[in-house]
Amino acid sequence: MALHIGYVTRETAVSLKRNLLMTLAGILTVAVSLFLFGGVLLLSRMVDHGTARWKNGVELEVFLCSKSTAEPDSPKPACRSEASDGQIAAVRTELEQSPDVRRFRFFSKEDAFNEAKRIFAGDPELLANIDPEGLPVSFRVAPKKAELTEKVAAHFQGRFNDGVDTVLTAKEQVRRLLAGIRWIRGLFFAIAGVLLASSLFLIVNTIRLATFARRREIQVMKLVGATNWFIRVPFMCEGLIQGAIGAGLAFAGVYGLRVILSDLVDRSKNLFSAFYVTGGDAIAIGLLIVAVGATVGAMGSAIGLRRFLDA
Amino acid sequence: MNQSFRAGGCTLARVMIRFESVTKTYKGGVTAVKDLTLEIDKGEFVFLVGPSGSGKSTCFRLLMKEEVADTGKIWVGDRELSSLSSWKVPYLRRNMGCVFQDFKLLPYKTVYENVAFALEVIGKPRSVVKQQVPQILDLVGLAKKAGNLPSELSGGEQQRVSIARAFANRPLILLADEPTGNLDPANSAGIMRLLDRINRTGTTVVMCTHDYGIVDLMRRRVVELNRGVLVRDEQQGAYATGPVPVVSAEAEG
Repeated sequence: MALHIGYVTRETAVSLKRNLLMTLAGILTVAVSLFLFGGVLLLSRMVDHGTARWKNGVELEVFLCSKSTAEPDSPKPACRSEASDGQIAAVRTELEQSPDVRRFRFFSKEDAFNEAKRIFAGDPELLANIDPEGLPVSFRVAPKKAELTEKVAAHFQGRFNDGVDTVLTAKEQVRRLLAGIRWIRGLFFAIAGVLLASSLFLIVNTIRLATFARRREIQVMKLVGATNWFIRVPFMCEGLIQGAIGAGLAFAGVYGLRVILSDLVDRSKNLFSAFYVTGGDAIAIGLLIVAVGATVGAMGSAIGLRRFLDA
Repeated sequence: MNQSFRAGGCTLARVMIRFESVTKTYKGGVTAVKDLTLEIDKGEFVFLVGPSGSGKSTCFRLLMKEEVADTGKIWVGDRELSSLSSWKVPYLRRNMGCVFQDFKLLPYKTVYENVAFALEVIGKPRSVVKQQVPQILDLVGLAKKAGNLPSELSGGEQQRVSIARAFANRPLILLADEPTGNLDPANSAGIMRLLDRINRTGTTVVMCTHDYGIVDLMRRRVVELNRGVLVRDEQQGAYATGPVPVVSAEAEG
């Protein structure tokens, strides 16, 4: 069966115009709910980036000297050369034997580079400037208790002669921030869910009105043997367009939010420098949003049409 | 799909429509058709008569598969309808033109557009539509009114448009539900001439009517239903057998 593109376009346009206000309402609710949804996702990505190290009980990370951190002639205490295999093995043995360490994981240069690749997926230029050989190897350590963090950190801190460059610990503030963000994230997801449901209902209602306005035509179409798909497609296009336009607006909003967030992060150099979002994140979230919007639109039409088409 | 139906209907079966012990009871408990067995051959012209509520329209709805029989079987061509899956129902309907007492035309579409619509929505290419619609309008004698809206036409003309729409796809069967019910005798006669002409192209025509003048004049096969039961099936029949047919029948129904 051939669907005339001209026919579908014409019918869809007429129907969208006829219910302009309902259409706008549908588009706007889709936009707002998806913007919230996308915004929360963006925030989550940020938190994920900022706290990638502090997962599964990992409280500190021991960085060993790398090519790029080695300063052979520095007057201050500093790495003199890249940590040797022997130094790495020594640190490993110390961690294995320490009664305060529950478990740890070795992060090779390759692992570090892979992580960088993931983080900077949206910025190929930046990625090109990273020299995999210059990255430090590290140990991510989960102590037996969170309170032992400082003790373990102090044990390794400042031992440049053993090839240890520096020790990074998760700060209490970061932990509290994480808890707070988790709570906010849940709340926003709930709000986005409710709004998404209401946009679905609005689209269902718009399509119902559209089918009601065209019930004579639908009756004739069924009479002369038009297939259900033929009858359905213009209405589904209508719902799809509403969902897609709403999602497009939300996408723009999320992208704007990303720019604002990046700007904020840039300004607070120290505290939040690990909390960033990349253009790649924003685009991935945007695509997800458009997919959700289109699905909601098409689903709304399908539900709105059901009653008219049970032949 | 359409083609396969056509082939099935045309070549394999002499019988175009067959009801076999069909019973249909609606949800409210009204039995509209009771144990109906009826055969209509390809190319026949049949009047379906009987008082209001005797089950004539239900027969049409069953044929269109708008309703499903409770018991018994219905064949259209060599297709048995209860085994026809719902997605194939539109293709069944493409073999049946339908004409109603109230025309069911789209008021904001011109005569041409009303007929073209019926072809467009079953996916006919534009070239076919452009070629067929003028032919059909010519057949029903409305070529000059192609650009008019239905509201600018007389009742008889509107019914011609609706027949043109029903016949545009050259169906095997034409179902007409009181097509002259809203028309004066002159217009009715015109519609009957048109239906007769369509019948002579080989199309099976089944027409529900209360118009005894027409039935008595045309002398075709008459099938009479009363309260869902077949009470008469007569070749070259009249509207009724009794002397004061319409009044008594209406009073009973």
